[in-house]
Amino acid sequence: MWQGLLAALSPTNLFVEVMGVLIGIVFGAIPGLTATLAIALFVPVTFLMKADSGMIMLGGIYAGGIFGGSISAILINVPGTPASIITGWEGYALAREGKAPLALSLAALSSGVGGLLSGVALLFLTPLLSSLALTFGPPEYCALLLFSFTIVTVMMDTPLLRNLLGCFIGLLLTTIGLDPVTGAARFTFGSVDLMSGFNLVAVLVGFFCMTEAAFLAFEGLDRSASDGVIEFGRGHSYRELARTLWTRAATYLRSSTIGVLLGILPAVGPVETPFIAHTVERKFNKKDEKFGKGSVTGLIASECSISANVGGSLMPLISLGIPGSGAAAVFVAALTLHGLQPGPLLFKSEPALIYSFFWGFIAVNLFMLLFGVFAARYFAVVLKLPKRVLATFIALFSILGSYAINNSMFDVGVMFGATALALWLRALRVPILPIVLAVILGPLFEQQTLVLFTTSNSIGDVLGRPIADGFFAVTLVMLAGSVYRRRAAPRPERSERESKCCIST
Amino acid sequence: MKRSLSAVVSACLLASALVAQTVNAEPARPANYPNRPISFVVSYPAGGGMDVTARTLAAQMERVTGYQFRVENRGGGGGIIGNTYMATQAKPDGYTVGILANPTLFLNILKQGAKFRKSDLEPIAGINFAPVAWFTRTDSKFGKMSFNQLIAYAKTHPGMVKVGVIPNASFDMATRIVEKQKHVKFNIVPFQGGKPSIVALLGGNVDVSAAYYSEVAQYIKAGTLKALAVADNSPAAQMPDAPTMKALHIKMASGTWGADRFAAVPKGTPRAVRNYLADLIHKTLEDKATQEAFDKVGINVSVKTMAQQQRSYNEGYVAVRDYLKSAGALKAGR
Repeated sequence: MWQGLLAALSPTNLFVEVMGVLIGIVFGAIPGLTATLAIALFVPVTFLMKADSGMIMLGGIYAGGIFGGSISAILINVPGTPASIITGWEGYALAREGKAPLALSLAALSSGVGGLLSGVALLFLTPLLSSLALTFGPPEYCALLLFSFTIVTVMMDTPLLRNLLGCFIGLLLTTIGLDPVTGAARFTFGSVDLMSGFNLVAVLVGFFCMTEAAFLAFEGLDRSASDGVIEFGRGHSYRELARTLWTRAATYLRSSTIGVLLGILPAVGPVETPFIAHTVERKFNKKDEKFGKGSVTGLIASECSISANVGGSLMPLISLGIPGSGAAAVFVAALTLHGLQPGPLLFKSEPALIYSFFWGFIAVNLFMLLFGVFAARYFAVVLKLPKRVLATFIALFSILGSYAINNSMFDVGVMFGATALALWLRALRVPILPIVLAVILGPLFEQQTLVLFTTSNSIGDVLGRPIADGFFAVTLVMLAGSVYRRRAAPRPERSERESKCCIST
Repeated sequence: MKRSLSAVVSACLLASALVAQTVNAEPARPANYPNRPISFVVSYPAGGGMDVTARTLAAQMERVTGYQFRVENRGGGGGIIGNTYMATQAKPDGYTVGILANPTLFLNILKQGAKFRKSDLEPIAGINFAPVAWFTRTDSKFGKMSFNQLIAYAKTHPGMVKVGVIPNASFDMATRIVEKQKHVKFNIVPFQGGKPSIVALLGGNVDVSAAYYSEVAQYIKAGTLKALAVADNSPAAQMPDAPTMKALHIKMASGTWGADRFAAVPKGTPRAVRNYLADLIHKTLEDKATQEAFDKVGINVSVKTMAQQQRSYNEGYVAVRDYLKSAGALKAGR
């Protein structure tokens, strides 16, 4: 184990750690280019290196990419990767209060802490925690997914029926494509491109990036407005930043734990995680009135959980050969091409490699933290650009990014379609977050319920699983509580609720 | 003495002439080809078995031939999007080579009604064939059974043995062929992809999984999983102990139900270019270092020449069509 530490600190590995983080941050910060894409692009580059350096570099790109997405989410409300949607929600609200530097540093700090904690877990708990990936069968997934759907419909302050409508639209969108069992084409109208359904990344880029580009363009072209440059805000003290480490220590710990645990599950990646971590933190911070509208705690919860998810998703990958997320799946290919088969034997056959990778991952998160806290503010230079120029760049990269997913123009069309839908729904005041969650989780929910129904003979097969029962119970309590609260509380001002809904989209 | 010497000399000359003859039979390099990198199109996203196959082949081709090769992923729709692109849109100029897999391609045509025909693609080399196999956990009650004992158990417990498969693929179809011929009923559980099915097997949510050896190699070596049978008629090199269909008296087409990975060019690629490419790939695959490189990534190369691959391409098509016809799943008009 300690030799791994030395290996991770060798000059070559220090170099690839820094390079990986920087490449990741740049890719992540550019809207439309995701961490998964960056990893896939750099897999061939790692062939020039030794296996451990290559893996560390990919780990750096992954961690950096996930953090980088938050930079653009905070500064211009455009999540650079889909994982940063919630961060954008809190961070952009902070930025509008003139606290952009604080939001950026805080994102870097919580990202770093989440990553470091997940790195420590990776180092000591990998074999133990990986078995969680196996104990999670169809009943557990179904219960977890029901819980997630309930969270979004019930916990958001927008009217309940609109949230449900959003969920419904999202689920409807995911039915397009081949039926997972019969292979029958659903709503494809004979088009081959529609058989795989709408690509998730293309849809999310349309929902968040292109839509924001359109708004920036409108604002930028509005001559009556000011000079068309967004305010950045003043600096902050590092002491204030460091103080959050103990005043909100519980938030850091809880969100990192949620991130690691969800990361281990093969079907749940960094995109879904912050939704859950954020809601859990809201429960623990009921007095925080700014929650969801620029809350420091909310931002920490979101960033910590995403970053911890990265380390979590690497656990089952290394010890079981089962990737914990889409990006981790590309790791499998990289390892395989280096002649290493991830799986239960890798720990025995290549302990040196694994421990230098684990230590490398911890170092990567440290570099990311330092870089983010002290240098991410220079990214704010983009705010010096006029809004219309910014809009042009975001639009350009949105198109490029959606094309790059599958080298297909069809995905670019999907992206534009999603933009149109998002603009229309915004005009109708239907919140977009429930749609997003339903689009992300819909296919998984369909598959897991299918498997659940084929494999269980009676309801006892489901109720005999304690983890599933736990999720069901929490879901029921949340439902009951929210119904009670909504009936008891006086109806909030209509305008206030709606302005909230628009910030959140 | 002198005479015999001259006989030897002339024999040598004759032999060398013959050798020269065979060397000349190798297709000559077409004029001005290739003058830019050649693309290997893979119909699956980066990271899967097909992608690894194509990337390893590309690297080895560069080493052996000195030309440049690129891998291009056109994923989506379980392969149908990339396959349709290769058959209908790719330029037949020798710079686009599909690294494709059967029977997926045939199923696109015969079951899903893809907008291309089998003749739109010309196979130029066979890379490897990985048969479907059935695996179970060694510490489960099926781990102590042979395949025939499992069948006997399934007969007395209809619909109770849970078999994880990927629906509408060889995994599913090979399992159903066994069901039909042995007159048993499994509980066939659909998964989206090989990994989820293996996870369910390891987690005890299914009893048996149909998968490829490469997906479970680590678990076989660790002794967690064992192979019950192979869906082919000749033993698989990596699991020689698993009984074949022939040994179990199950009638199944050879070399069909698994992943038949091959290289193909779009119809209309100039003959000289096609033959030259086929020869380059063949030469690369025959190379010992190439086979070692493939072994390292868990792929067992089984080289087929252009003629051999075209034959198995045509035979496989008929086998898949016959199966779909008997299952009532053949797309109208095919």
